[in-house]
Amino acid sequence: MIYVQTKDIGMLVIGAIIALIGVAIHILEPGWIINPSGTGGAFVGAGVALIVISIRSIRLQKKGTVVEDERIFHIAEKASHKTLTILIILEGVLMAFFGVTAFDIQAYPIVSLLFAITMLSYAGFYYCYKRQM
Amino acid sequence: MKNTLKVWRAKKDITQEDLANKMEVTRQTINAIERGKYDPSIKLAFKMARFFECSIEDIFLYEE
Repeated sequence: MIYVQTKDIGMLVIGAIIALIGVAIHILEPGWIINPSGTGGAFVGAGVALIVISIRSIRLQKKGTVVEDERIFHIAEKASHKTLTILIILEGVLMAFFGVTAFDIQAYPIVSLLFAITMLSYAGFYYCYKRQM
Repeated sequence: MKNTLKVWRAKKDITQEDLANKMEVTRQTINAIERGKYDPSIKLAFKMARFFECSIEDIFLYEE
C-alpha cells in the first residue's frame, strides 16, 4: 500500500514537471524546437493525463477498489502484442519504401504518424479484447 | 472452460463485489469468469478453491 501510494505520488510529481516543461516550451519558444506550440501542447497534454490518471488511481485505492488485476494485464498483453505486430510490419514496409525510392522526408511527421498509429492501435485492441473477455 | 462459480457464490451468499475484494481482483474479472469469457490463472483458481473450501475441479471443469 505504501509502495503504491509512493508510486502514485511519484507519477503526480512527474506529471506536474512534464506539464510545466510544456508550459515553459510554449511561453519561451526556444529556437532549437521545430514546432514549439505543438511540442508544448503535447507535453502539457501528457502531463495533465498523467496527473488525472494518478488522482483517479489514488481515489480508487482509498475506496479499497482493485484497479489492476490479472485480467487487465492479460488484455494489455494481447493488445500490446497486436500493436507491436502492426508496428513491425508498418515500419518494415516504410523502411523498404524509403530505401527503394530514396524518398526524402522529414523524421518528425513519420514519427508523429507512428506515434498516432501506436496509440490508436493499442486503444482499439484494448477496447476490443476488454469486450471479449 | 466451464465453471460453477456462480453456484458456489450463491451457496456462500456473497456478491461479485465481495468475492472480487476477497480475491483481490476487479468485479469485472469475477463477472467474466462466471460468464466463461475469461479463464483465471492457477493462482486465482487455487485462491477461489480455498475460499469456497473445495477443490479446483469442483469449481472449474476443463473440456477439450
